[in-house]
Amino acid sequence: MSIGQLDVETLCAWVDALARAETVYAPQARGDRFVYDRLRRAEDLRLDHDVTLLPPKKYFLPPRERLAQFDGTGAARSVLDETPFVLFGVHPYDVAAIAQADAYYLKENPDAHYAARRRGAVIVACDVQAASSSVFAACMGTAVAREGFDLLLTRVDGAYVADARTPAGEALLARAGRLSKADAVALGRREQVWQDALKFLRRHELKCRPADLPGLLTRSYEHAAWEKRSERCHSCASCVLVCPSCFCFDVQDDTGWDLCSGERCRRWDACLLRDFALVADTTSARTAWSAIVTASTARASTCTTASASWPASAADAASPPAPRALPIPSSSTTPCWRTDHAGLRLRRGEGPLPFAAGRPAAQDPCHRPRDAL
Amino acid sequence: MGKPRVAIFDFACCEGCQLQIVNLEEDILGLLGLVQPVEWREALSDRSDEYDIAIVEGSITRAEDEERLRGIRKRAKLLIALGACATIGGVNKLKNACDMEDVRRYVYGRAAAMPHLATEPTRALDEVVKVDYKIHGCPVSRRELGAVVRSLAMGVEPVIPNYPVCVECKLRETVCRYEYNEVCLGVVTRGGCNAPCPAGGGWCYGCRGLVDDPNVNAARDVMDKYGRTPADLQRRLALFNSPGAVSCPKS
Ligand code: SF4
Ligand code: SF4
Repeated sequence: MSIGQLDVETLCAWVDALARAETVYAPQARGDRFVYDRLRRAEDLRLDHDVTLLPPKKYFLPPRERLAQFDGTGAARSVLDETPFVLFGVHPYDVAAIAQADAYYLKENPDAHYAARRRGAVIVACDVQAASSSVFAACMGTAVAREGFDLLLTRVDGAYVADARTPAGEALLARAGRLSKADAVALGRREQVWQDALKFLRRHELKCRPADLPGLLTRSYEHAAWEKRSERCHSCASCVLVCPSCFCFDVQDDTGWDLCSGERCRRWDACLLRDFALVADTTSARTAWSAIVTASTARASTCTTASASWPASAADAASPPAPRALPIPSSSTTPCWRTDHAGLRLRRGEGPLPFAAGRPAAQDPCHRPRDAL
Repeated sequence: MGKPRVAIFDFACCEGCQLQIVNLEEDILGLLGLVQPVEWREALSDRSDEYDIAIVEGSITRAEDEERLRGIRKRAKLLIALGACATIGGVNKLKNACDMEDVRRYVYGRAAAMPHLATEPTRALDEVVKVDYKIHGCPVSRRELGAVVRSLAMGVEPVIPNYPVCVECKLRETVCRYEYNEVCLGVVTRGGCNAPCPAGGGWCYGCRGLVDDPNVNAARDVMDKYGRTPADLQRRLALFNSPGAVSCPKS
């Protein structure tokens, strides 16, 4: 597969052509934040975005989607959205999250609706140019993308190294026309960008190896940390909904006035919402679980008073092997990654590239909630 | 089997929720295909005491209202509370913090002594009688109203959301108002409205009432984080979610 170098002029022309011919979704400014949205022209593209309000999972698993339609005769048909699209400018950690979602939705019980969208997607990844103030990708091993994309763009010295990894990426890149060869200097600089990313994209430290996390979590179901966290939890599910790799949903039918025709819809749901945890007799599964834990703890220990709450700490629930402490990441003092990679805003035909801060300026022309009321 | 007979009643309110039913536009034909309205002040001149379903808007503010509502409850197999005044008391409860005599004099002036103006602390319908279903909002959404009616007609439990408005802010990518130094009630308010107020640049007034089990500790933490106090929340909550009648001074 080919590696080439694009100057910004060429990149802009290429992106403009893609945006005209294809459905392209890319990070753009909305108000003083960034969102993935349909890209109409290169100058709206913000490869210098720090983080977007919602991750690109919304294009594979939309917040609300129609799964099936049924008419008055009892006939039903699946609704599959197979419109091909280009997802442009995806950060490496979001690439990793898409791979994660692929594992849930394509492996054991393939989901036709997810698969249809996923089949039609070409992913253009882009190395991070401006870091989010709470980035922790480096300690999760997702600061740099090795796979899971069709094409990777890396900004080096005011130009972009474009690295096609799949035939689809190759075909997309071919449409850029004049592609100069990426020389050893550019590739060396790209290596440096990756090294910097691995070093600096960690605003929070993880005090264990990412590979240890599943085991730690399995052993920490009864850890007091959960109780402590839940005291401060609004159950608003914001964390889960914006999470690039959380994937739960609810399915409901919307029936027409004839009570026969209608549609079956899927909407994001979240384990932190109260009703998500309701079980058949309308007790919350969490309360039920808590009661089970309490009961079994009471049995296991000599404690005679049945407590209505969770065990005070994992140590109290002691039945060997004792769970290892769950490391709660604390904010570290590592400064946010704001190096000379601070972003650029693509503008056609401007000489030296203007540097932008991590966030769009508030006076940005689109500082208006677009879908207000 | 005939269509269920529906009666629509109003108590203290602006009658805007009842108007939402009239505003169903072409959907009204669908509604009339499922139920037969037998009493509906805004749209029918008929009256009837024979009905299966009572849809009631407004809150209870006088002794005679209470009596009338009890009568409705007795006759109806199913009672649906329509809109914030009925489901939570809504803005009508603002007066619960005041002395009822003062309220009466302030609002009605010289007419205050007339017997039909003998106002009492406001109560939501379920503080007086059993309510089977609540359609929340000020005003109610026509979409939700339609969905509840259709669910009931199919014998399916209607889905009334019990998650905070924040969920819908996330789904439509609205930046949280707290990020702009504002106070929003969405964190404790029942969603289902699609969060139009924060999306429009305002904040949630809590018109759909509180979610079940709002986490007060968490609210306090959010207030701390943004340099606000729980009193900032409470002040705003008063608009739609003032305390019930029990805790208020009686005239
Ligand atoms: S604006 Fe209000 S409703 Fe939206 S996320 Fe923030 S607190 Fe929640
Ligand atoms: S955002 Fe809040 S005030 Fe606005 S409609 Fe929804 S519940 Fe009511």
